[in-house]
Amino acid sequence: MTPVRSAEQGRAPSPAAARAFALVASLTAATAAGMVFMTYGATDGVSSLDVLRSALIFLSTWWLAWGAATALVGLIARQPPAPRRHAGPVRGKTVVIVPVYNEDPVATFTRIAAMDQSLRALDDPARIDFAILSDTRDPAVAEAETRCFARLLAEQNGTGRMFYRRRSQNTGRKAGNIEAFITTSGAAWDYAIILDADSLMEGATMVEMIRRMEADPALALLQTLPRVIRARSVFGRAMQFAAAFHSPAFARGLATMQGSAGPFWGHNAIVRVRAWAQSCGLPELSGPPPFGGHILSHDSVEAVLLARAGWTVRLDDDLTGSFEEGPENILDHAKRDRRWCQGNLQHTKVLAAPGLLLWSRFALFQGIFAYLAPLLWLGFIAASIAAIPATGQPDYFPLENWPFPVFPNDETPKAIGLAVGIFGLLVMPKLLVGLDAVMTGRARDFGGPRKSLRAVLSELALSSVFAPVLLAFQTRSVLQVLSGRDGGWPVNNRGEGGLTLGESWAAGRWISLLGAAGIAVTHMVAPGLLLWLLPVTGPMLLAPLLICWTSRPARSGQFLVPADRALPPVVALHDAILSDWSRQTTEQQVA
Amino acid sequence: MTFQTRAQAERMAQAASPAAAEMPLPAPPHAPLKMPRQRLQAEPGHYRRALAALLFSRLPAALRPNMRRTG
Repeated sequence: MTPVRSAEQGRAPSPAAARAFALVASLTAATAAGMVFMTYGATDGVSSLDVLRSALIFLSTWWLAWGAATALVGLIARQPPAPRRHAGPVRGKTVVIVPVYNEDPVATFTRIAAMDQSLRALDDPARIDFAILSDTRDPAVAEAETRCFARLLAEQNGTGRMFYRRRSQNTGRKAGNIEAFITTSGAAWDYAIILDADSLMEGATMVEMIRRMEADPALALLQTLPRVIRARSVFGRAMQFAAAFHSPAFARGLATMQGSAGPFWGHNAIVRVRAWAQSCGLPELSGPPPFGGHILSHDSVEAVLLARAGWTVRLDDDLTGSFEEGPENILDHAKRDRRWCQGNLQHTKVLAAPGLLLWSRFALFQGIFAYLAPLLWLGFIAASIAAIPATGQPDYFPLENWPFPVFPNDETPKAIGLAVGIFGLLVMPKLLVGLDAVMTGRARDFGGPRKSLRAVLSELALSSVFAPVLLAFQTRSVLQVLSGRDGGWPVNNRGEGGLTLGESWAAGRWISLLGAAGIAVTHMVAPGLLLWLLPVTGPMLLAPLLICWTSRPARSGQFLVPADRALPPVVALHDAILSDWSRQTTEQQVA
Repeated sequence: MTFQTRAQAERMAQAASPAAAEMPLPAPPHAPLKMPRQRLQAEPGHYRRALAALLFSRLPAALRPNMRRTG
C-alpha cells in the first residue's frame, strides 16, 4: 500500500512561507535580545559570564519568540478552505478504539454509550464499531470493566459491533496495546478512531473525519483539536479557558507550519489502519530506561514515521465536537508532565533516525527543547546572581594623569527594554488572540468582549503566578530523567482534584525551600536583584498555598467557555447516562 | 471522578450489572495485520558511510573540469 499525492489544502500562507516567517522572526528577536544583553553586560568589559548569559538569553528568547510566531501565523492564516470530504455513502469500516488502564470503568463505558447514541442519532449509515482495549492491572477494576461492558452491550444492543479484551501483560504500554490490537484484528477495519479513556466525540465529528479520510487516499492520520471539558477547579478552569480560547490560534499556526507532516497527540484522531500497520511498528530503543526501552511519547514518533513513509498527517483544527478532560490541579498536571518529559527527552535517540523529513526532526527537537527551556531560564538566573559579585566596583579613574572621574554608561534602560521585550513575547500572543476574538465576534461564546478580555487578563495573571511552580516541577523532571530515573507509567487522575493544605505542603514544600534559598542567596550575593527575581521566588515560596488554592472550585462564571452556555450534545448525553448508571448504583447500595 | 480504591471498584462492579458478570465477552475478530518493526536508530557508522558515499559520488564531477584543463 503506497500513498498517492495528497489533495492540496490551499492554506494561506503555505507551510514553507509560514516556517520561514516563524524562523526569521524568532531568530531576529533572539539575536536582538542576545545583542542588547551583551551591550548591557559589556559596560564593564566582557566576561565569560556575560557571554554565557547572552547565549542563554538568545536560546530562551528564541523559544518564546517561536511560540509567539506560531500564534501570529495562526491569526494570519485564519479560515483556510474546508478540506475535501467524500460526499457519497461511507464505504470504509471504522473502529473506535478506547485503550484503558486502571481508569474508572463507569465513567469510561458511559462515554462509549454516549458516543454510540450520538452516532445512532445520525442519518448517516457509516459502519462504526467500538473496541475497548484494556491494559488494566488491578483485578478489581478489571472485574468492574467486564461488568460495565456487559451492561453497555445489553443497553446499546452492541453485539457484533462492540468488543472488549484485556491483555495479560501490558507490554509496550499504550502503543503496545494498540499494536497488539492491530496485529490481531486490524484487517477487519479500514479506519481506527483512537481515543483516550476520557475522550468524548460527537457522532457527526467521527463521520466527518471518516469522510475526509475517504476523500484523500494519501491521508493516513487526521488529528482534531480536543476541547477540555468539565473543569471545576481554579487551575482546571484556567487551563480549560486557555485551551478553548487561545489554542485554536496556536493550533492553526502549527497546522499551517506543519502542512502534511502534522502532529499526533495520541488520541481524538483517526488513522488509516493499513498505513498505520505498515509504518508504525515501534521498536524498543537501545539501552535501559529512561532513554532506552519502550517509547513513552509514542504519538510524535508515529506521526513522523507516517510522514517518513510518504503519508499525510494533518491537523484539522476546524473539526469541533472533540473533547477530553484535563488535570484539575497542579500536582496531577505535574505528574502527567513528568511522563511527557521523559517521553520527549527520549526522542533524542530518535532525532537521527534514517530517512526522517527535516521538519519531522525539527518537530521532535521542539518537543525536546520545550523541556530544556526551563533549565535555560534557571541557568540565566543563576548566572546573573553569580555575575554580580564578579563585577566588582566600577573604576571611576581609568585614565592616568586625568584628574576627573569617568562615569560608566548607564545601560539600565537597555536592561529594562530587554525585560519588557521578553515579557511582551510572553503576553503578546494571548492579548492578540483576545483582540482577534473581540473583532471577529468569537468573544460572544466566552461571555462577550468584556468578560472574555477579563478572563484573558485573569488567565495571564494566574499562569504567570503558577509558572515558577510548574518550572520547578519541570526542572525536577528533567533532572530526574537526566540522572537516569524512570518515571514509569502512572495512572492519570481526572475529575475532582481538590487538595488539602497538608497534601499541598507535602508535595510542594521543596519548592518553598528552594524559593526561600533563592531569596536568601540573592539577598546575600546580589541584593539589587531581589526585586527583579521576586516574580519567580515569590510564587515558589508560596507554592503549597498556590497548589491548594488553585485546586479549589472556581467561582461560578469564572473563565467562561462555550460549553458553559450550551452543553455539547454528546457531553449532555454522557451526563444523562452517567447519572442513570450512578443512580442505579446508589439504589442497589441502599437495597 | 478519581478511581482510587479497591472497595470503590468492587462497589462499581456490583452495581454495573450484577447478573451480567458471567456473560461471555465478545473479543475483537481475528483479522491479523503485519506490523513490521521500524528502524529508528541509525546503525553505527550509518551517517559516516552516507557522507563518504555522497563525497565519492561527487568526486568524478569535481575532478572533471581539472582533467579538461590538464588535458
